Amino acid sequence: MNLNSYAMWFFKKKVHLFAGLIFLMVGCNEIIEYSPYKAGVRSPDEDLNIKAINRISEYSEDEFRPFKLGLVGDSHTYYDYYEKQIRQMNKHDDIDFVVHLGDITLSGIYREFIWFRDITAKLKHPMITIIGNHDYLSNGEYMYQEMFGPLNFSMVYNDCLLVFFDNVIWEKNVEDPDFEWLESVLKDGEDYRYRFVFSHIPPWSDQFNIGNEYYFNMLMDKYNVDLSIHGHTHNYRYKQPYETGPPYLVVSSSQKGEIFFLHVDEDGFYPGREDY
Amino acid sequence: MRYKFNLIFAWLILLLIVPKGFAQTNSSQNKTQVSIDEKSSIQYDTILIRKGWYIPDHIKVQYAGLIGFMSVGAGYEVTDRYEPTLYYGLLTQNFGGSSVTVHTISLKNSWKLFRPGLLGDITPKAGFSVNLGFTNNTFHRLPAHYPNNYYFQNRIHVAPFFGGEWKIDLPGDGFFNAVGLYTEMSTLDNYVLEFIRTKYVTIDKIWNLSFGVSLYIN
Repeated sequence: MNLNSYAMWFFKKKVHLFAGLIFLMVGCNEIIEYSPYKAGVRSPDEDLNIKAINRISEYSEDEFRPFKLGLVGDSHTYYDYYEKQIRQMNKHDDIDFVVHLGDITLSGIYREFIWFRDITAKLKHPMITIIGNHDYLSNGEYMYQEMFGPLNFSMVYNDCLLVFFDNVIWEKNVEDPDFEWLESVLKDGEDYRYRFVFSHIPPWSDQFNIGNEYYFNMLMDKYNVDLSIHGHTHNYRYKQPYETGPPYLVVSSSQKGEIFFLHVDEDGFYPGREDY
Repeated sequence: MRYKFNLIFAWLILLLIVPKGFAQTNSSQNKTQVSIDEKSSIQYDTILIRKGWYIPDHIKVQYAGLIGFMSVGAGYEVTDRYEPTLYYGLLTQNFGGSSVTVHTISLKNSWKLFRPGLLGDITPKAGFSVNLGFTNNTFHRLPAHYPNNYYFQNRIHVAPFFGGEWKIDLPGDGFFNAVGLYTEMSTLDNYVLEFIRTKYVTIDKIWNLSFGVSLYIN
């Protein structure tokens, strides 16, 4: 039996095709993909932010208690670096939960969300993920809402108000951020011990025009926000850029090889930075 | 960078159209010859009918494969080996579970890997599709409010694939002379890029499976 006739015999037996198919269906995850633009997830992967908030609120207390948050951002498709960040976060048992500051994908397409979910599943702590400008591309905006929940949301943790705000502008066809919503949440937050606002784009960055930049900081100042936390620019920064208003913290992107913390104590708060 | 890629796409599309045009002129030349043939063939009690260029050589119905939940396509056999097929695919809430409707136009360029008939009625095929997605936030040219090169275009994707088809000849002289069942593994340019760029994205993470039926027109 020469090679040619063996190949013919092999292809004439159709059984191997079905065996191969079954092997592939079992072996590969997410083997059926309708479209890279699909905005929908299967059962355990929907509303991950809402699930995380439920998990966090189980150990949240009414009275203030010091806590520590982990911060990462702009993981894009730096998957190897992002995996290292997750591994590093897992070494810290004292973290209450982790916040991802947006840009979890590069092109907002289906499998990038799936890969992000797969890596994040290895994290021991709950994670809250906000949306970044890249996550708006294609149908990422709708995929994000299927996978994580609403774009703007807030929670109270240990008597501190945490606001998660979507401030992407250009990808919404130059639509201003929903400042009315932000104001309505901050208005009711005067009595909490601290107020922290998490949003993807720092107001001095490219997508904000002068008016939006001023308005964003004005809201922070007016409602005594203690710290505004961002991603987007891929470089660490901790400063008070405006004459009035809170300090701003910008966390770096995944490939910079560092993770960040926010220590919140009785007498104040300070950011932490750890490279590995 | 963007324009360079656009140029490549333009070339690809040109390459696809040119042989197709040649194929059509060839068939019209054949037509005139056929009319001569017809005379002689009538003597032997057979009538030769050439179908018009507007009738495709095959019609395909496909499930999944990056171009929608279900898609339908039609195409020609330009050469013995090369068959392009133009698909339209649909993905909606009810068909595929996407909260946003996605329309996709796809030109699948498929080559038979072996001489037709060499492996019996199984034909291994490979090639690539050029997919155009019509949905939110996809653009061919970056909208004016972005700085230059802020994003790469995301409306056109190239999807390489490999697969095989089991072709069954139909008896009789009906409209369809054969039916084929095919399955393909395909991937997307972005996924291949991440496979090259990262260690995390391994080769098994980038492929997806699709099934389809081909109907060959007599």
